[in-house]
Amino acid sequence: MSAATLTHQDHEDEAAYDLVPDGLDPVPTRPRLLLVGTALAGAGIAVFFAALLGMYLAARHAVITGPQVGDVAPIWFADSSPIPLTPANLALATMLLSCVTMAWAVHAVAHNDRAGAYFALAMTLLFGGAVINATVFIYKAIELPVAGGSTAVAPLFYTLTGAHLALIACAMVFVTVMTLRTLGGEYAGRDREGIVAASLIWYLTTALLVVIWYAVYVTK
Amino acid sequence: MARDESTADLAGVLGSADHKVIGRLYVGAALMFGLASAVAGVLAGIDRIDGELGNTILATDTAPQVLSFHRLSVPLLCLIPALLGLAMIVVPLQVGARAIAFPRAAAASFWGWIVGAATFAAAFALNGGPGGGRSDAVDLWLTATALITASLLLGAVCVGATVLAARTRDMTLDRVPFFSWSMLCTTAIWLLTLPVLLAITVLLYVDHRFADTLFGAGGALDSHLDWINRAPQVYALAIPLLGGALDAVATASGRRFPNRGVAFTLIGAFAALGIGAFALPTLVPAAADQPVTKGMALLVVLPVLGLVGLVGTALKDAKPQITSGLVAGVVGLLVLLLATLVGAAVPFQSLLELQGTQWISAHSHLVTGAALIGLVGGLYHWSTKIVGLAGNEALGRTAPVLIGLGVVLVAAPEAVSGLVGDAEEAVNGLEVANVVSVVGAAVLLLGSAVAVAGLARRRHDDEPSDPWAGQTLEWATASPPSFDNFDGEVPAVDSAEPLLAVQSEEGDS
Repeated sequence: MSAATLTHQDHEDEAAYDLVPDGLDPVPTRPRLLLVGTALAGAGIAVFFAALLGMYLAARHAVITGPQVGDVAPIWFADSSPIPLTPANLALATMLLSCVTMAWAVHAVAHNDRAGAYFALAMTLLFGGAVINATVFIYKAIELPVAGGSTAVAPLFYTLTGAHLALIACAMVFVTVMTLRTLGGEYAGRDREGIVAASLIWYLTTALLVVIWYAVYVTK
Repeated sequence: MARDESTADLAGVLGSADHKVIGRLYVGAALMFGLASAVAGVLAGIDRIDGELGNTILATDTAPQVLSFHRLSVPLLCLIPALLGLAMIVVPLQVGARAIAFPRAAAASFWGWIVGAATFAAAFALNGGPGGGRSDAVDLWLTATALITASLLLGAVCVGATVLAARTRDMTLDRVPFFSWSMLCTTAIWLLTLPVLLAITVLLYVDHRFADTLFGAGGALDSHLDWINRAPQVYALAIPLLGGALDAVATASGRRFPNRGVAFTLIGAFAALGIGAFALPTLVPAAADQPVTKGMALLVVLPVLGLVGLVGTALKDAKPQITSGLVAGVVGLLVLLLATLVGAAVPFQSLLELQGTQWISAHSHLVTGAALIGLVGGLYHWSTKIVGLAGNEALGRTAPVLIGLGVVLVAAPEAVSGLVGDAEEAVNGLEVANVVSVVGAAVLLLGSAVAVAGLARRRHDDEPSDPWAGQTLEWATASPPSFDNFDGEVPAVDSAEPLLAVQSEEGDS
């Protein structure tokens, strides 16, 4: 229950030290506070990646439509750093699969299916870890040094995909915390706002990977 | 737990997630950084009087850094955090919430910002900053900028979620006070644009620290961040002014504000025309030449003009109280109208050739000046809720006028230099005009000092909780408000002016 939706009781002592007024009569005037906050944060995250992707595509466009050097046509990823599509495909497939387990976790929480929720959560986190692993594998495979390149491909590639890795890690933490808090009783089975908010971020993370997969790994 | 005053005060400030405490911290710290930023601006202005930067009171390599600090710190260290702090205090009270949405996130927002802001300033001192000569310090500055941006975004989420999801019963969105509506629009625009600043900052960091291929070694990094000070993005700083001004006008008039729906639409339109993230040079190298930029520059005049008209309608035959909030609102709106008119001239490049000249600086100064006036007006209008005492009204009415005069004195000579100067003068300013600009900056500083002086007085026991006979929910709280904002139940909301009906009933009885 958010402090923002609670009613008054006398609590001057708490006022001295903090913190958040809790323990008050639970009369929510506006439910979905966490969901709305998550949606706003999700919008910011989407804009962040849109900006990174825009800069990536703009820089790539400038290179591949630029003048050719000698007899060599301008290329974005150098031949010495071929980007492997198979692990990228695997990462995408795994992430899409994790959406199924995420939806399963939400469904399980809604029905107070504790065992199902834990299992679905574990599977979701496992899949998230697998995507991180696949991306790290790509990093090792392409052998693209950050420094010393003639184009901006390396900083852009690592910033974009690295930021997405960080988002996956944050989403995994968020999913874990929200599921545990829900199962711990903070949200009742039918009031599964926390886990729904976490799933929102998870689906957003997957959607962003779809875009990155096509814009970076497929079109190269 | 027994209350120990000595620890309660310290713990209450450092550990608090009370939105009033966080908001006060935000406002206070932002004003301190604003002072530093203003001093930097004045120093750069004095140095630039002869039309060349870095040859009088500042060294050649120091002067651009001082100017960069001024340009970047005005939005990131002063105006955005101060407005966010004001919103954190006032918005939950206005919408009848017991606390801000995600109180601990709001606290994290402040502490992240203050660490980032201190690091930002320290990085400049260590020869960091956009053109800094010390690579590690430049990296530190970029890290600080990213931290500041992320923290401000977190605060924006808290304020936006409060308006959207923490409103009291029966307070529909069309009943929220103007300031809360304007902050909802502002947070929406910040959420759509500040992540772009964060993205470019992260990319700059990676490139600068590891590669130096994308932006070039020792490149002028601030050109990639300066869009936040340029049209259309700079207008996002002035959105809260619109809401604050309308709230002050409605309160001063003592009547229902006419055409609320139109006012909401105009504020929203102004906000939409302040989305400027697409003008990122990395994405669109010649953003100023794009038809959409030119169209936005021309269209943005209309909502401000419409709001000025609405204010005139509201005050007509009303015999309003001449409050500090009213004066600030009207002066701020007029300065903003002037700013939009100045900005509307920029698209006529083939005729006037204003791009890259002092005209652009004049425009930025006018918009940020209007935002500052709005901030001062807000601090005075809600002073009993912010600091628990009514500000000195004489000083409160004088300060916006002085700041308005100062900002016009800063901007007008710049505009003249941009318009009539030859190639070099248009960029660096005419010598006489530069002198007048410095005088204007001094007047602006004086106005800011007057504003602070009017709020810095000892609190009396009989401070009024509602000095203006206000119409909206924040005036139903004590001054300063209690920990959970409302002593007892939140008043019922059956209109956009819930306290107006109560006052009428009391008057009848």
